[in-house]
Amino acid sequence: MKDNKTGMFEVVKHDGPGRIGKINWADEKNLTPSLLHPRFPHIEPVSEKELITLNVLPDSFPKEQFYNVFMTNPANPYVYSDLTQSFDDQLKLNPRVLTVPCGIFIELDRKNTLRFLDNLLKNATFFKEIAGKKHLAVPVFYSKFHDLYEKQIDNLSQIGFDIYILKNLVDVLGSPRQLLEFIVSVREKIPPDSLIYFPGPVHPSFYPHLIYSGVDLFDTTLMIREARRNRLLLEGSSKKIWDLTELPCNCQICSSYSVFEITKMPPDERFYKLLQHNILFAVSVLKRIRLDIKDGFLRERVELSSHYSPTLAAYLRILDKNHFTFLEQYTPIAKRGVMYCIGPESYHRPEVERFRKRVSERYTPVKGIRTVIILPCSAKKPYSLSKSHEKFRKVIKSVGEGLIQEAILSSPLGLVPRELELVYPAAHYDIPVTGDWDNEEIEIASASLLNYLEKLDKETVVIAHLDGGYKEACLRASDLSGREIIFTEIHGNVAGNESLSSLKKVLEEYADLSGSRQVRDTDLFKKIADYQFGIGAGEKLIPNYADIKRDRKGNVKILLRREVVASFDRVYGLLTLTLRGAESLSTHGYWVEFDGDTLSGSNLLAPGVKDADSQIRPQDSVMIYNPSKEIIAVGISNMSGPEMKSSKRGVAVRLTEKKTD
Amino acid sequence: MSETCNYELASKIIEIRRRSLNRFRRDFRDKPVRYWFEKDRLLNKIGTSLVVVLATRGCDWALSSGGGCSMCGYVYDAPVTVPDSGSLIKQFDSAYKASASVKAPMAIKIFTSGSFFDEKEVPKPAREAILNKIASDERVEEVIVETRPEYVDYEILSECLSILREIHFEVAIGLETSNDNIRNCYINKGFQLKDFINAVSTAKKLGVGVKSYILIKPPFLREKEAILDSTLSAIDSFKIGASSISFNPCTVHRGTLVEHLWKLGRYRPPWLWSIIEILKRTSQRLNKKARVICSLVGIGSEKGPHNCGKCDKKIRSLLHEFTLTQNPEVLSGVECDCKQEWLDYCEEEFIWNQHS
Repeated sequence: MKDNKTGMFEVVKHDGPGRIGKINWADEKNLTPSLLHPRFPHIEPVSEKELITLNVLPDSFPKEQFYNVFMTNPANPYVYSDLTQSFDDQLKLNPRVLTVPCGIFIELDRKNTLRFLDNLLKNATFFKEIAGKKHLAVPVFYSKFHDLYEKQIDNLSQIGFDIYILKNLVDVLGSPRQLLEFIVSVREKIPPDSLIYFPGPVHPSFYPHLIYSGVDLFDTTLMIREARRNRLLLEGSSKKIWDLTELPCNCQICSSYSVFEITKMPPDERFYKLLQHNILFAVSVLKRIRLDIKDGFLRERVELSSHYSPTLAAYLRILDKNHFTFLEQYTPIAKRGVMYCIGPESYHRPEVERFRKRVSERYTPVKGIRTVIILPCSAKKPYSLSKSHEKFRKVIKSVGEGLIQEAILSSPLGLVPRELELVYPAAHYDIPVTGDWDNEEIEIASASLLNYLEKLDKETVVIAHLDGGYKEACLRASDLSGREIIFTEIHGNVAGNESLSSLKKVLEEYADLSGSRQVRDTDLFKKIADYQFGIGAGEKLIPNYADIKRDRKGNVKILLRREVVASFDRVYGLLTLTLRGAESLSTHGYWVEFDGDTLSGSNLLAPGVKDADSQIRPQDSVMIYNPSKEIIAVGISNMSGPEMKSSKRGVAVRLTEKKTD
Repeated sequence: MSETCNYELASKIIEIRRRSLNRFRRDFRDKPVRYWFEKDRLLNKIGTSLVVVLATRGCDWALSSGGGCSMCGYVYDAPVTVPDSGSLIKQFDSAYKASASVKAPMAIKIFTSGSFFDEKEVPKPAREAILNKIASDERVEEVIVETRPEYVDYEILSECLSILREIHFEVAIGLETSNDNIRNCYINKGFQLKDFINAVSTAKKLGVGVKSYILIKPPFLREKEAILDSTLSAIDSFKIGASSISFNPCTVHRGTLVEHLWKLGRYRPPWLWSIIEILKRTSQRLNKKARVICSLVGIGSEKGPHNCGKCDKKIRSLLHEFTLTQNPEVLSGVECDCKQEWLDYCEEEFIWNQHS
C-alpha cells in the first residue's frame, strides 16, 4: 500500500525526463520548472510573480517579508548549536519547505566523504522525525566516489523528501559525463513526484539540457552575480553593459532605457536595472521551455541550444549515448505533430533510437514472400502518399501485386518496413532531404538494413532502387552480410522515367514471384501490433479473418466477428485496444494493476496503481487489472510503468473503456 | 552532536604534515626565526613591542601523533637540530640587542610557535635567563608569552611572576574558537573549552592576564558563519576572563590542510570586510572592557585575508589604527565597490560556492 500522505508536487506533463509540474499550496500554485529567488538582506527582492522565494538563514528579515517563504537555506549545525535549534530557527520564517542542514563538504578522501555523508544522513533522519507534516528538502552531494553518492541517494530517497538539492557540483560543471551520471542517478533513484533543485550560477542556456535530464528548480544566483559585475544576460552568453551599443532585448528594462542611460546610473540603481533584466530573461527562457514541454518540443529545444557551447553539445551526446534507457523510459511512445531531425544531434534521439531498436527486436518480415525491394525515403509522410512512392508502387504492382515486400531506407530511422510507415515517428519525422549522407548516417542505415537482411530467408531476392548515401549504406550492408543485392540503374531522379523503367526491368528480370502467399491488409496491422506490444501480439489480436474498416481520415477500426478489438489512430500512429482486444493480449504485458475493485471517473490516478509493467511508456495503450488479475478497463498511459508505480500524485492512465457488469 | 575529534581529518593532516616536515625544515642556529618592532597597544597606552619568534624544537602538538592544527605551518620554522638552552638565550639576545634605541613604554612578546611553558621547547634555565634579562630593563611594562593551555599551571606562573615582579605578565592562548565542535573537528586543536577555562582561572588567581587568540574563518566554515563564530568566541573569552582578545585572520601557511584546501579552490581566506564586521560587533559588545587586537599578518595577499586589492592597504592601516586606539569608529572610514560583492558572497555561500 502506498504512503497515504500526498506529496506537494504533481507532474502535469512529460516530455522525456523533462516535465511541467505543479506545486500545490492552499493559497497559490507554483509551476515548474521555475526559478527560486534568494532573498538577500542587502538586496531589494525583485517582484515577479514567476519567482519563488528562497530565504537564507541565519539572518532574519523584517516581518512583512515573511510572506510565502518557499524554502530556507540553513547554516551548519556544527556552528549553530544543534539540529533542533536549526529546525526551530527555520520554522520562525514559516517556510513551506524546511531544509536539512549540513556543513561544507570538501572532498579529501574516501574516509572523510563517508563520514560527512553519514553525518548528513543522521541529520536527515532526525529532521524527518521531527518534521511532522512540514515538507522537507535535503542536499545530495556529488562525490568522486560514485558508489558512495549512489548509496546516499538510495538512503535519502528511502526516508523520502520533497526536494533534492544537488550539491558539490563545482568540480563537475565542466565535465558533462560526471554531472550527467550524478543527475540521472538522482532522478532514477528518487520518486518521480519529488523535485530536483540545481542551485548556483547556471546560465539559462543550460536550462533546456538540465530540465531534459529531470531538473525542476533553478535559482537567481547567476542573475545577481552578473548584475553585480555590470553584465547583461543574453542567449548563450552575457555581456558587459559598456561593451554593448544597443540593448538586444525587449524586456521592460531594455525597452525603456538606452545603454547610455544605464551606464550613467549610480552603481546601485544600475545593479537593480540589470538584475531585473537578467531575471526577466531567465524567466522568459523558462516559460518558453514550459511551452515546449507542453507541445512535446523539448527535445528540439535541447538540440537547438546545444549549439550555444561545446559543453552543451557534449552534454547531449553523452546523455544520448550513456543514458538511452533513462531518456527512453520517459519519452512518450508517440506524439502529435512533426518530429524534426535537423542534424547529427538527432541521430540518437530516444524516439529514433527506440524505433530502430523495436524494428530490430519486434519486427519480422511477412513469411512466404520471396522478393524484397528497398526504396529511398520521401519528404512527404507517410511515404506511400508521396509522388515518388506512388510511382514506385505503380511499377511494383504491375510486376507482382502483393508478392513483393517493400522496405524504405531512411536517415536517421534506418530501415522502415512498409508496414510500419504509419507508426510514430516514421510518419511524423521531418529531415532536410538532400540525399547527402554523412558517415554516421550511412553507418546507422547500413546497421539497420543488415539486421533486416538477416531476418530474410536465404533465397529471398533483394533488389534496391537507391542512389547516393542510400546506395552506399546498402552496399555496406551487402558486404557485411555477404548477401547479394541487385541494384537498379538510377538516372538522375529516382522517380524519373528512366529510373522507373530500370526498376521495372530489374523487377521483371529478377523478382521471384513464386511466393506462397500475398501481403494482406491484416499484415499491416499485425506488424504494427507486434511493434507496439511485442512479437506475437499481432497474430493474437488480429487473425487473418479480421475485418479492417477505414474511415475517410485514415483512422481504422479492426473488428473480429463485428466486435472492435482495436482502433488505429492516424495522428499518433498507434493502436488503441478495446476491452475485447485486451482480453486476447492478456499475456503480452502492458498491464497496470489497480489497487481496488471499482474504477470511478475517467482516470486512474497514480495512488491507485499497485504495480505496473515496466515496459509501459507514456501514451501506450494499456489494460488495467484488478487484484485478481482480471481485466477491468483499458486506457492510454500518462506515465511510464515505473513512474506510475512510485508516484503519489497525478493521472496514471486515461481510461478509454471500462468493464460494466 | 559534540565531538571531540575528527579522526578522518586528523589523518589527512598527519599525512600532509609528515611530507612537509621533511621538505620545509631547515637548519639555523642561535638566531631567532624572526623578530621585529611594532607600534602597539599596551594596556592603557600606545607603545612599542619587540616581537621575538624563538626557534625551538617546535610545537609539541604539531609534532605529535595528533597531527597539529589544520591551519598552522609554524612548526616548519623549527630547526632540524633541537636548540638547547644556550642557543635559545643567544637567539633572544640577538633580538634584544636591537632594541637599544627603543624608547619606553615597551612590551616584549616571546613567541615560540608553540608553548613557552613547555620545557621540551624552552628548558627552565633558558626561560629564567630570558625573563631575568627582561626584568632588569626599566622600559619594559609588559611581557607576553604564548602557550597551549595544558602547560599553564600555578607553579610555573608564580615562578615567572617572581622574576618579573611589577611587569604586567600576559599569557596568550590559542583558543581559536569557543565552539568545541569547530575547534576539534575543523581545526584539530586537540583541547577543549574547559581546558582553556582552567588555564584562565589559574592565571587570574595570580593576577596574570590572558590573551585569547581567536581564529577568523577556520576551514569548513562559511564567511557568515565565521563572522558569527569569531564574535561569539570573543565574547565568550571575555566572559571566561580573558583580558585581551587577539583576532588572527586565517592565512594560508604552506604544508597545512588549509593550504591543501586553498589549492583545491575550496578555501578563501577571510574578507577584510568580515574582519571589520567582527571587530565592530565585538567592540560594541565588550565596550572597552577588554583589549581587542587584530593581527595584520598576510593582509592584502592572495594567501592572506584580502578584499578586491584596491582597498586592502587602506583597510590594513585602519585595522592597525583600531588596534592602537581601540576606537571602533575608525573602521567606518572606508568604502569600496567590493563591499557589495562581499555581501553577495556571504549570502551566496549558503546556496552554492566555489570555495565551499
